[in-house]
This record gives sequence, C-alpha cells and structure tokens, in this order.
Amino acid sequence: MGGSERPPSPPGVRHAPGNPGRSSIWARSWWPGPRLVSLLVGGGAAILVLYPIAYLIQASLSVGDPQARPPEAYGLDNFTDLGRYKHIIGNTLQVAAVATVLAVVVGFVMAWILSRTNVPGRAAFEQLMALPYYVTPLMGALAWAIIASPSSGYVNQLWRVLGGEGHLIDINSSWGIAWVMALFEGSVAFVMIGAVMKSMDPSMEEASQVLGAGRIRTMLKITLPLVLPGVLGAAVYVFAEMLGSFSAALVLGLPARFYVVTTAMYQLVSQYPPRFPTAAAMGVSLFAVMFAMVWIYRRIISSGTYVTITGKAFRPRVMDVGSLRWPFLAICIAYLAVAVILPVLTIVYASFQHLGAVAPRWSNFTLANYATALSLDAVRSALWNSLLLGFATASIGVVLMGFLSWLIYRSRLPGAGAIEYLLMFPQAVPRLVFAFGMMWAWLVFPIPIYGTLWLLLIAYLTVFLPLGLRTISGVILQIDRSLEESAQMCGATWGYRLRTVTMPLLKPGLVAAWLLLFIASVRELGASILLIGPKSKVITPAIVESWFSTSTELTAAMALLQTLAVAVALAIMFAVARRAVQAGGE
Amino acid sequence: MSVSQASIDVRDLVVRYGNVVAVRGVTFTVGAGEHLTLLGPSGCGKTTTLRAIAGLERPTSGEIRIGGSVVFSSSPSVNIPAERRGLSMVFQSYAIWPHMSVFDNVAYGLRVRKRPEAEVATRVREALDLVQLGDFGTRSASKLSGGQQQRVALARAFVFSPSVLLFDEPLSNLDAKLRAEMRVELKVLQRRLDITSVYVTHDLEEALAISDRIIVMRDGVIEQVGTPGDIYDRPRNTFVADFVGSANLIRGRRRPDLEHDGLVVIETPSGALVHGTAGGRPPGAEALMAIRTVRLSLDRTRPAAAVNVWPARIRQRVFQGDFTQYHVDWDGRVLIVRSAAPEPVAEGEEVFVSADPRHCVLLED
Repeated sequence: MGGSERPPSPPGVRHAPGNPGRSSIWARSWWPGPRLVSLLVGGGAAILVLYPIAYLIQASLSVGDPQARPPEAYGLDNFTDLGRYKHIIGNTLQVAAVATVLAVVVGFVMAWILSRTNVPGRAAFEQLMALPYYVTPLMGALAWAIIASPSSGYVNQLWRVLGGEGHLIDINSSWGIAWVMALFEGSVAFVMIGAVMKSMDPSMEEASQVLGAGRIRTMLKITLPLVLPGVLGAAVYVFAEMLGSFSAALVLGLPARFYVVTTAMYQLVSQYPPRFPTAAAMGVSLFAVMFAMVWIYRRIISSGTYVTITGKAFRPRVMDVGSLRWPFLAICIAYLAVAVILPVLTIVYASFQHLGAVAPRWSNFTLANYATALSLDAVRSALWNSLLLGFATASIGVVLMGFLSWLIYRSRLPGAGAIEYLLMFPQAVPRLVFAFGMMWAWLVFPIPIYGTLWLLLIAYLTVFLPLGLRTISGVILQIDRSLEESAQMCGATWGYRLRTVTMPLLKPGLVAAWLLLFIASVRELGASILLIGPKSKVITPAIVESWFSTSTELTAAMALLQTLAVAVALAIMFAVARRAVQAGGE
Repeated sequence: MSVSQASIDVRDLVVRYGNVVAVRGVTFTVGAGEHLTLLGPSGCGKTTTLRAIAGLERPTSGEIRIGGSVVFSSSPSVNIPAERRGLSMVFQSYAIWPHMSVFDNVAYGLRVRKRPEAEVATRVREALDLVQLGDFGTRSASKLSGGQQQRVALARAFVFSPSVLLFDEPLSNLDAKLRAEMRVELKVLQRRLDITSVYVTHDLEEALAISDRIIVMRDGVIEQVGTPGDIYDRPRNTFVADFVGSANLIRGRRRPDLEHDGLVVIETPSGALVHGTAGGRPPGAEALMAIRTVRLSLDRTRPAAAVNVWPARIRQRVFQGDFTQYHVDWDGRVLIVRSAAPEPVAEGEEVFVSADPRHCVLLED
C-alpha cells in the first residue's frame, strides 16, 4: 500500500502561497479561508447590531420637525427636556428597586435552602425553579390582574362579599408591577446566586468550624462575605433588566395611567401625533444607564472577589436543619404557588368562563372564548405568523449563532473579543428601545421590508443574539480544544473537522438553543409591538391588544392557545428529531 | 504497515504571546527514526515547541522543516496548516471523541485520507491489536477507563502511518502504577513502529526510559542536549543537575597543583578535596561540582580508594522503601546520600563517605 499512500511527506516550499500548487488538495485547504469567512460574518452581525442603534441616536438628536426624516436640525434639546418626565423616571426607579430587593431576597433564600439545607425534595425543586421563568412577565401580569385588579379582581370580589369596602389589593400600582416582576426575576436571581453557592469550596466553612467558630459565626464571617459578590452581581443584573422591562408595566400600569420609561416611550410613539425624538431620547438615556449597569455587573463578576469560583464542581455541604425543614419546604412551595401555580390556574379558570367571577358556577363555564379566539382571522394569522417566525428564527439563529460562537471562542480570530462585545450588545438594550431603532432604520432601507415578517425576523435574530450565543458558547467552552486539534492532527481540514467533530459534540447545545430561541420568539412582545404591520401581526401583541380592547376571558383563552401552540410545536420537533436520531443510528 | 520516517529541523524558533516569550530562539534536529524528548518544568516552552512543530501554534519567527520541506518559516512566510504536515499527535487529555465508537475514533485518520473501508477495517484492527484493545472496537469511546483511552489515542495516532509522532505528556493523567506500565509498553511500541517521535514530558524517569536523546529546556531555551546517560551522569549546569534527579552541589577553589590523570580537583572552603571529571568543560578558578545522591557510598570502615574518601557522621535517616535517605554531616555542611544497602547505618554513627571521581561532575556555573 506504500505506493498509494497519499500524504506522508509534507508539502514543501513549492506549495507555499504565491506559487499555485498543482494539487487540488492544496487549493482546498486554503480556499475557504476561515479568516475571510469569519470577517464577513462577524462584520455582518456587527452591522445588524449597530445599524439600528445609530438611527436611534440620530432620532434622539433631532430637534426640528419631529416627523421629519432625516432630521432637519440636531441638538440636545430632547435630552434636556426629559426633566419634564421626572415622575416617570421616579416610577421606573421605584418599581425596579422594589422588584430587585424582592427578587434578590427570594433568590437568596431559595438558593440557600435548596443548595445548603436538607429540605425534602431538593433536587425536584431545583428543576421546578426554572418554571417561573417560563411563565413570563406577561402571563404573570395577566393572571395577577385577573386575581387582584381593584374592581373585578377575584381577591377583591371576595373581599367585598366578606363585607369589605372598595378593594383589598390594587395590582394596578407600582407595588403590583414590582410584585409580578419580582416573582419572575426571582428565578433569575436564584440561578445566579445558586451558582455561586454551589461553586464555593465547602472546606472554607469547615475550616472556620474546625477553628472553633459556631454555625452562625461561620455564616456571617465566611459564607456571607464569599457569596456577597454573587448576590450583588445578581442585584445589579436584575435591576438592569427591570429598568428595561415592559410587558408587566404595560398590562398593569396603563389602566391606572402609571407609566415607567418603557411604557412612556411606547405611548409617545403610538399616540397621535407621535413624538419620536422624545421617545428616542428616553431610549438612549435608558440604554446608557443599562449599559453602565451591565458594565458594573461585569466588573463585579470578573473582580478578584470571585476567588472561590475555581470551575471545580464541589459537592455542596448540606446542613441538617432538623425540623426547620418543614418551614423551609413551605417557603419553596409558597414561592412556586404564587409564581407558577396560581397564575396558571387563574388563566385556565378565566379562559373557561363567560364572566369573570371568583365563585365557580356551572352555568358560567363555556368554551366560547376558545371558539371565538380560533374563529378570528386576526388571531389565527397572528398565531401562524408567530410559529413561522419562531421556526425561522430558531433555525437560522442556531446556524448563525453557532458559527459566531465558534468564531469567538475557537477560531482565534484577531479581534474576536471585540466581536463578542458587539454581539452581546443587545443585552444592554431594552427590546422596545432596540425595536425603535430598527423601525427608524429599516423604514429608509432601500429594500421594502418594513411592515413585513422579514423585519420581525431580522429583529428577533438581532435581539436574541446574546441568548443564542450564551447557550451555545456554554457548550463550546466545555468541549476541550484538543478534541478539534486531534482531528486536525489526523489530517482533517476545518470543514471536515466541523462536520465530524465540532458539530456532533455541539448537538445538545444546539438543540437547547433552538428550543430557547423558538420559545422566546413566539412570546416576544417588546420588539414586536413596534414592528408589526397590518399584514404582519404576531400573537403576543395581539394578546395585549385583546386585553385592552376585548374581554379578559377571551385574552386568557388566547394566552393559553399561545402556550398550547408552543407546546405542540415543541412536541412535533422532538418527535421529528428523535426519529432522525434513530434513523441515523440504524 | 508501511513506515515513513522524516527528520525534523527546528531553527531559531521564537514563540511570543503578546509580551510573553514562551520559546526564545530554539534550534535542534531530530534524525529520521529518532526518539527525542523535550524535558523541563512547566512553563519551560516544551509544549509550545511541540505545538509549533505540529502546526497548532503559529511561531513568531524561525524555521521548521519536516523531511526536508519547510512547513513554517517567518521569511519567506510559509505556514503549512497542521492537517497538511503529515504528522500525528497524542494529546495530554487523550482527546478521544466521546460521540464515536473506539473503531471510529481510530479509523478517523484513514477515513480523512479516503482509504477504502476494507483497508480501514484491517488497519484499525491491526492497530487495536497492537495496543491490546482488539475486542474494544464497537465499544463507545466514552465508556473507557483512562488507560484504555490512552491506548485508543495511541492507536488513532499511528494507524495512518504518519511520518512523525508527537507526544504531549501522554502519561501524565494516569496513576503512578499504570504510568510505569505504559512507559514500558510505549517504548516497545515506539521501537516496533519505528516512526520519528518527539515526546514532551516533565517526568525524568519517563524521559530516561523512552528516549534516544533528551533536550532539557528552561524558560524557553535549551539547557542541555544529550543521551539519557549524558543528561543523568554529566549534567551541564546546576539547573540540569537539580532537575534531573537529586544532586549534591559542592563549591570550591581549583587546585591545579594536585590534578593528575585528567581529573579536576577542587578544595572546599573548609579544606576537603574533591576529585572529579571536567567532561571537556574548561574549568575556572572557582568551580562547582555535582554528585548524585545515589553515587555516594557510606561505609563503617575506610574504603581502599586513594581519593574522594571523607569521614562523616549520620545526622538523620529517612526510610523510603526502595532506598534509605541519609542526611550526613560532612565538611561543615549536609550531604544527601541515597543508599539501597540492606543494612542501615544508625543515626549518630561515624562513617566514611566516598565517591568515584567519574561521578563527580564539574558544572558550568
């Protein structure tokens, strides 16, 4: 076989670039020039991110006729005028602060109970703690409005039946919004704080105890200081998210004319005549503040105080808390009850009723809401559009973001760090603000995509870049670089390596990213609400519209239909994927 | 299996990462069919040098030739990608692909080269037999023990008859006992395949066991090149003497008046005379000698040798199993002596320490 042996002697100088070799192998190994491809894709993604931001900033500096495009004159008047909206800024800070404190307390307590005590069912609860995140602030807000709106909320109906005056709870307030958001962000804080608690070397606490410190003293002197940066990081992160949150403030605040920055922006854009420059100035300011927060968050995370995190997985030391287990169990159940069970049951219950009443009566039950929702062309097409967009976003997104992650974390491309920074940019921009920039940007784009689903697709792909990248890069970073290098040493070109080694190893991460992108797209509100056109409606804005213009019960039915559609789509995807895997295996 | 050997020439190799210089101008040659080891502590640049040869690291400057062909050169600029250099490598982490069977792992390099499936099957079986994993082909690679993964990595590396095999600390993740076994097995396999190999390790015993020649590196430069025997018995300087096994270092003033038979003689500050070998090194007025701890003998009665016999006293005795380590008061300082003699000398006992002048080596610094 010696004669047919192909590559034993390495190519010499004569094969060097500049002197076209005769063999096609030579050409193939140089042609797909990873550098060139990387630069093109990285540059393209950067344009996707920066183009709308540039237009947002341009609009915020427009001081001539607010409707004029391009602006007639530039100045900072829109920013100096923001002083008139002091109360809105105050509202925003109040809601964000209250929700952050609540969420961090919930997150800390839950993280401590579930990672450090022998509460019954720890493992199961840890899995269940992801659920509040999937309930979404919009679902939470709808459900809690049904439960506790001042006039017709179930709790307040009960209160009046029991002889109370007026209302017991008013969800249409800053406290109500903060409450709903805190239930949602609580699971985010839990994940972040829990990760820190788990990565802490238990021997640090054991050392303290061996040296004679009691349990309380150890907790105060060792555990708390070590976990503090993690808690602080979670607080900053949640606060930043709260500043840009939109849906709960819209659903709960609008009826009471209670505005935060995002809902005020939305109001300024959708009123007649619209005041685009003022809205843009608000958006830019909010973006600047959030950017600063994200920067602070990164500083906290990367500061040396995180010495306890070694990347090594420790088996966390579980404390026997004796009979305190039961109160702790009650806390866990209570959180899941108010964050998941109660809202979901409420929406299900409401969706089957003629008229929202807390006392179930047989004659009040109906399927009419579902019949109506499904018979409305607007709802049907919105649902279909959403699923279509979700499918497209997830499929294109996985390919695009998979490639981008590989580029950033594996290709050793010069400037990979800068590209990463750019791509994570949308994280610091509330989606509503981003959509505002996109609306402005794509209106003047030579190809008419404004008012079509294409614009929404581009928007989703842009705003979900950080989500996709984080999910996929998490998997990429777990794959040892030598797995790819050894393929290279076996003689495989980069395309072959990608196909036979990198992609198969990434598969779990890619599947997870696909699912997350799909779910996130179908439920997207902030970006969609500004970018939908008469012929490109999607389901979540349609639900919000129905909430304000039709009945509560119909809205509940629509919200459940959306959830159901997502579930069915996912089930189909799983079935198809499993069949593909089985077929491949045989 | 056809065998193709290639020589490797590395000239003035420099590898820089930002401000850090990992390799500072290294030049050496590996003959066709030779087994060379790069030995040194972590951070000495040995792995970087290996990866530069492999093509996984782009050097800052210098030239690398494999089988006479330039695979890297800074001027004129040439950088053949790793997959086109015709080498193969065994990684420290094994880098076994968990999503493939053992067979598919080993077959990878052959399939990349588009060999017919029948040939792939035969050669993979031969390779697996050679590493004693004949029955493991269908096993999923993720269900192997560390030692088995190591063997798969080996089979995968040599199955497609590369011209050079590179080893990046392949045994460092195994436990001590398995490591000792694999060391022997690797040596047998290496001689049998007869492929040029470059081996990187920080483990002295490994380097001594499997190499034709050893290059000792420190801080990105070569400290010494030589056969295992050379490196062990004739270290060039304190670093090599210290890194390659334990040695006693003795400093003194030259006494050319006493020198005879080609021996060098130094006198310690307190007057003890040590006869040793220069090994071709030009001695100065001040000199330093190294004596390996195992090359010193302890006797209760005065040995017959004419030179290098000194009275001493046992200060401490540490039993270590294979040998006993003695801390000996000698000439106002402590010498370390390792002795495998079955009858131990007691602490506090007066003894004679002696050393063959051939094992007292003059160092450069």
